[in-house]
Amino acid sequence: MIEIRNLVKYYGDILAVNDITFTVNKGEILGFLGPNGAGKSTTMNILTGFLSATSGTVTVNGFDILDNPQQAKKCIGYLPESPPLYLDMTVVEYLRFVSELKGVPAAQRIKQLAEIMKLVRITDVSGRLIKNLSKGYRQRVGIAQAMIGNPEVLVLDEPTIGLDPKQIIEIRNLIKELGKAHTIILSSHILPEVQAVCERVVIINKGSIAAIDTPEGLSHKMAKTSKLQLSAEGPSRDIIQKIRLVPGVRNAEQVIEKEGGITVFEIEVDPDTDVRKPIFFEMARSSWPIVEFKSLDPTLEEIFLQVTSSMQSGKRG
Amino acid sequence: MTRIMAIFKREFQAYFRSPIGFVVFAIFMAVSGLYFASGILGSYVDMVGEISFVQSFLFIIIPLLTMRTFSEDRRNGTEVLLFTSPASTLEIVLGKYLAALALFVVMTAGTFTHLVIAYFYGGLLDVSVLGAYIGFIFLGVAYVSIGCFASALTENQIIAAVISFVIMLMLMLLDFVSSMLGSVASTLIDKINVFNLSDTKISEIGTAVTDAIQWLNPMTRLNNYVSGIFEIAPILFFVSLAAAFVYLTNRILEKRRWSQR
Repeated sequence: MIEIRNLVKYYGDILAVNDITFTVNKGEILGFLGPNGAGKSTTMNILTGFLSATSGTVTVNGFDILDNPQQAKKCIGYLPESPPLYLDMTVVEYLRFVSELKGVPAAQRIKQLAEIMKLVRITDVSGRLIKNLSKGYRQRVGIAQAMIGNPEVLVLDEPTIGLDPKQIIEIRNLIKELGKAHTIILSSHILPEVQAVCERVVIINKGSIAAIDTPEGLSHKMAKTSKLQLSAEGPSRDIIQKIRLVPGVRNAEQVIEKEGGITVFEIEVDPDTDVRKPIFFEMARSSWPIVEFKSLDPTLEEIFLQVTSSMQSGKRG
Repeated sequence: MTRIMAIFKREFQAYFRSPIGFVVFAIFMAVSGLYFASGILGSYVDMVGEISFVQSFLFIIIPLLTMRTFSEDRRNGTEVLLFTSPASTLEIVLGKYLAALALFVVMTAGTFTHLVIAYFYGGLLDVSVLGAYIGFIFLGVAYVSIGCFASALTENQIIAAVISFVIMLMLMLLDFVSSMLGSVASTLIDKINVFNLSDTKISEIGTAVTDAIQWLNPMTRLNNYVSGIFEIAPILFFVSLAAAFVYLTNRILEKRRWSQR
């Protein structure tokens, strides 16, 4: 469906995208994961034909984005990082303009708009000026805009950024729903989001692809170590000594000292071992009360480290 | 064509969704109305004079009209929508240019109210008024394209307005500049007279320089229209000027997105 080959993009002397190659299959939801500044938006801007690449090719549905831009762009609906909304128009005026711009035949326009507005649930705000809408609604209008003309591919750049948790869940469900009929490329810097929605994940870091895998495969790779965070009251040096002696614990370190004698520790643990109970009993025996105890999700940077290092050690394992 | 139409419609309406369309329209009507009123209070009507009076304010009015065309989209990020749509860059440029031009024509049509009043009070309306109007519209055709070009250069509307203001001011000053440069040229040649040219030759060169620069001056091209003489050359000149600037605008927008480095 979409083929990206050897994509390179320089901004001046800065290398933003470094030799990226991947394909997106028809009907799949592909996650594009990377920290801020990894080159996600640049790649998306190139594959939608907004920017040109320094070298490399993008073909959409067999149409090269440079040689045949009109045909290629017809296959793509794009929601950039900030939705391209005309704030001075009402929702319905704006969407009508987009359907004219995308060349939707006049006879289908009204029906298609009604369907899309119903699907993304903006029918009740259709008569309001976009500048008066909340961030969540603006985002939905942005998604509606991408869906107009019924393109086969939807490219969504950080679709849930800046939304509240309820809206995030709604948008994720909407994307899953859309995934039934569309090919979707979705970028994010939040790992659980990509895991929740996508069938395949491309991880990009500093402009290069770090890994391409299914979400399950990724979490398998990441299960090498896990981290716990413990807040407890007591002498921090003694606590660290005690914890380090618990079997399965690799390391323990003090992170911060809070008010009231409470100290926060980070504990690195071997994978597939549960050290929570032994630690609890050790602490109880010394009468050091535990205030909080939780497992830490790996940060994106740690995932990159792990994924890249596991790739190197396991030869693209 | 439908895509040009879609952009044209949105852009034209956008002038009246924000105050800018009303403000520019008001300035236009105030300037023309001032001249008309001062005439009619003295019981005489001079439409040709009115149009050339408004013409001398175009270097302020047109930049206000065109400053938002591309700058605003670039600042708001809506240009992504336009450039990733199936519309080509030229279609986008044409849609926006024609919308600004249409507003200019509508504003010009606003002065028809003066014509109607003049007609009923027995004012003098002859073919020179028609000539002045045609010349005025074609001057707008060229000036609006210059304004759009300036707007494509920057994402700051104020800077866009200043750039087009300066270009148009320079065009207005061509009269003065041309004769100055002409005399500079002849003095220079007089001082370093390598080819031993006679004084008449030297002054001829000076006039030639002046004429060459005057050839570029849009204002001088309208002189005949005001006296009711219709020629095709000035129209061609203005339309080519507009085509050149539309082309340049298109190139600038493409270059910004397609530069390899």
